[in-house]
Amino acid sequence: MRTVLTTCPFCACGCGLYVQTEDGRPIGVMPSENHPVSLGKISDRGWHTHQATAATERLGQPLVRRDGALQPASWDEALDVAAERISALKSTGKALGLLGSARATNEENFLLGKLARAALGTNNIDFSLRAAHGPLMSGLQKALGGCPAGATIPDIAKCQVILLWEGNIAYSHPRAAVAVMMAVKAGARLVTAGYKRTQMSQLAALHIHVAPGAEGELVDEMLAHIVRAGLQNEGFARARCAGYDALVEWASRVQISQQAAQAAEWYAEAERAAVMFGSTLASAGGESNTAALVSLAALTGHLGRPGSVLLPLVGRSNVRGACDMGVGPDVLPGHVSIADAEARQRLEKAWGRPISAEPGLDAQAMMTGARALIALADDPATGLPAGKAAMDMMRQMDFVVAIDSFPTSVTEVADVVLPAASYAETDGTYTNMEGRVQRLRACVQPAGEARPAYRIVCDLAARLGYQMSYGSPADVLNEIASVTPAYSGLSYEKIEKSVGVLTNSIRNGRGKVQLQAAEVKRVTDEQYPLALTIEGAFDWGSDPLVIYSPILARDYLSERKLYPKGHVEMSREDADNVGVRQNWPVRIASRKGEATLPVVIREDLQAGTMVVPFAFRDFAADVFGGERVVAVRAERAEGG
Amino acid sequence: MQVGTPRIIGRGKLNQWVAHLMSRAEVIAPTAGQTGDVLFLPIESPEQVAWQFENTLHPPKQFLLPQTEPIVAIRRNEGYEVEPIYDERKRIIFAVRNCDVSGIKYLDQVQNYELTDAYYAKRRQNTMLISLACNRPCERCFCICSGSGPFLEEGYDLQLTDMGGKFLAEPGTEQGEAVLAEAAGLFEPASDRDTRRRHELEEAARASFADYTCHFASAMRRISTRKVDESLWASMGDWCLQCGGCNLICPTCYCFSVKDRAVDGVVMRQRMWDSCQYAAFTLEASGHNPRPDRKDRMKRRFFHKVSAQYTMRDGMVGCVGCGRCITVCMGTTDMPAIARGVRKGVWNG
Repeated sequence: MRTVLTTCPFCACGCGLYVQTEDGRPIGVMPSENHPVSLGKISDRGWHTHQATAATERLGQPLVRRDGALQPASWDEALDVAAERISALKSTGKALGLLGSARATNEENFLLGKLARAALGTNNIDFSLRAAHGPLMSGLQKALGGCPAGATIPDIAKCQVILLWEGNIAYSHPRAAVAVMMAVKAGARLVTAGYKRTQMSQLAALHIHVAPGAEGELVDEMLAHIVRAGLQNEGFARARCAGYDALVEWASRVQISQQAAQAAEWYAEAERAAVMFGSTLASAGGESNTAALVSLAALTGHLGRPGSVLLPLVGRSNVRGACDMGVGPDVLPGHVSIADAEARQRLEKAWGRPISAEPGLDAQAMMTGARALIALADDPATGLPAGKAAMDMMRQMDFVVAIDSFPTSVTEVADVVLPAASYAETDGTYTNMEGRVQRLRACVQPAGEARPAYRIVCDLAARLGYQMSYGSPADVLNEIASVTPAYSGLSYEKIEKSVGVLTNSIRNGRGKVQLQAAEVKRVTDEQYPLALTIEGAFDWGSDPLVIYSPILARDYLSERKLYPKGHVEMSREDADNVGVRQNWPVRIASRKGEATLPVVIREDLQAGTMVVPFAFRDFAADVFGGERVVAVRAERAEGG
Repeated sequence: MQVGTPRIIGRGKLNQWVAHLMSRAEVIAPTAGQTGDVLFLPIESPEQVAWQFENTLHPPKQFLLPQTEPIVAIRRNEGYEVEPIYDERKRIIFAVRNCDVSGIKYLDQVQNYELTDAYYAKRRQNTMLISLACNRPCERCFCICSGSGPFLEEGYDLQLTDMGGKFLAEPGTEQGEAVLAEAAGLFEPASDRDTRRRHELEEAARASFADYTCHFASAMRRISTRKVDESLWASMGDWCLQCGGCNLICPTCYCFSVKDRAVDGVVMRQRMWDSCQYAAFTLEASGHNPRPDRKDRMKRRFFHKVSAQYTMRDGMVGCVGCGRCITVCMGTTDMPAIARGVRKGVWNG
């Protein structure tokens, strides 16, 4: 029996745990009591880290599509076919798209970026979860200008006031939820804002209902109250921020609710306070909402104050890392804009190839704009808001290469499948939502013929006429450190010594914080009086690490089995008004289209809001028409 | 229950003895992990034993009830060939704390109700327990409240007590006595002074528990007579994140699920640890869930652990006071906290 200390591959909290193996097979998990994030506490997902990698369904054989069916091939055959077809498409000027992933390591994401920009000369690189979570990071980057961001999960537990813009962090980020609970237990005031009474809102001193899409309204009211009640740190605001006078002028016109005023006062007066915000805040105007939160922290002097926290709750394990590695059509490693000539030159020198200053296609645009796709551990059909429609779009492409450890919708439509070593079979690093770069360690040998993805990317690049050669992922991190300022000085040795290293990927500069209000988007009107939203921006039930872990699959997929055609959630009051009972079909119509779904009546929803879980968004795709929040009307459908 | 005679071994001879034990069985002992965590693992040399440890966060129960346990191999030939998989490795769990010995004693009973679980039984028959008594309680434990430590009178094969420069070894079974006899050259008979000293250490340990207590009796009375308000369970449930950690690290929890997975072309039926705190643990095929909410699942857990009904059947509460749930809990709903909430009828997180 062996144990290997590694990082939990599920959410972005990044807990430390040991995977136990026997006879080369993963058999169990032990939480690490001394790990700085987990401190002995890991979630249900973390406890089952050992299961997915041992799944029967693992990909362990290269596959090439012949006569319409995927058939076993040798590595050389599969890589040759992939390189030939990609070269051919490239030479005819067809657009290529590359997808990195929030479940791939920093090293894998970085090399995929290098493959795209240096070997293939394209900025068409992205990952599916960036659409929903990227704005939290880029909003911070754009608003901060230069003040230090970031704070640690343990810091949250010591805060006196916590503002939580909620999805449902008990579910999405359990380790951060623990820190919030510890703070509340120690007497902190918790303010939750959202459209549902979640578990955390039950512990809150104040829960503020915000309609979906109108999250920014509350931020604005708090900002306005701070200015009007004189709660701002004016010295800091004038010295370190831009746009102060305009904000003061704007504040005089804002109507402020009592709840917002209360929350603003608690926040401004606290010595140590936390603002935590997740994908619900990104549902409409993510960047502007994030920027307004930065303004809130800056105005009150919490920005950069030791002990105060401003934390983006990005969804999956390595969302932050993928963003840091420049997996985006308009960014280079380190969140540097593609327009930054100096940064481009630095990379051009290191990589020996010119880099275009023209932003590429994002993941959504690739689905229709690219003729060929290389997807590394990404799955647009489960990650993109477009849902299953993405699968049909991928089928229309000329050529699709899937590099993954597990079957996904991409491997289903792919022309070439290259089996990759899993999270438990490869070395690498993840960057958690705090910015902590941590080691993922190989615990067992790769399944079948699977190879570490960093090697697959290098092999592909070599066949495309671009040499990338690394002895191990440690060498890749050395290169990352040499071209990414925020990661400079990082090495496996350094990470090893301190169980992870906190980086600050938000660029430090001398710029000022741009004070600004949020974008407010009220969608409803008299004709369409209900706000319908897609809940969450990510669904664990469609993640291979959950699907292929038996215990987790049972829990996370049970809802889907009960509702094979999806459902829509309604408050008791709205359901009574419409005249529907539990499981009756309800027809929902927006200006974009309509759909009929069984209804689930929820006591934790307030009247006026209807919810379609992210997992069921495909069943209401016509109603949403590409938006995350739409105004609808509902009526009882036949059969009810 | 003493079998045979207590003996003394000098600290300097311990490694030699451990090496001898390693020659007769796989020795599982507390070892130092990468971040300073102490983990029970098979050792490859006597020097690996971490003598200075309070207790591990992960209990050694996994060596009797593994987190993943292949139980049947199914091969398809002309028909089906079904072969049970027994683990009959000879093992010694060394320097195991007495709370864990008590946990194993509890599991021994449970696995033998009505039908004996053959998989557990084979492992257990081949496993020897050499415990290390606790001279002082660890930060989180309350074993004194469930009679499962810090020293025991039975349940172990051998009980060691750290007496400073030497260790007292008390055999609790014939097997324990035999192991001492085998290594007779390393041990010498304990004097009356040694046995007196051991009892003084036990008294001192018992006296130093201070506030680390858990009042099972009054909690039990309220739980068993349904005097706990539903709203109290609901408030307590709000502080549980359903990670299942309390179950998985609990020395007395034994629930599992079964799944067939193909391994190298052979279908392996596996048992895997499961938690009654997971929402779909009791979900029925019809879609009905008898314990749909957090409060229902929490109530069930504590009914099993501290109700009079189960205590009468098992002869002890379903808690050995190791306090691991205090550390592992992702919320604040560990055993002493819930017992306190139930006893006082109020919950403040």
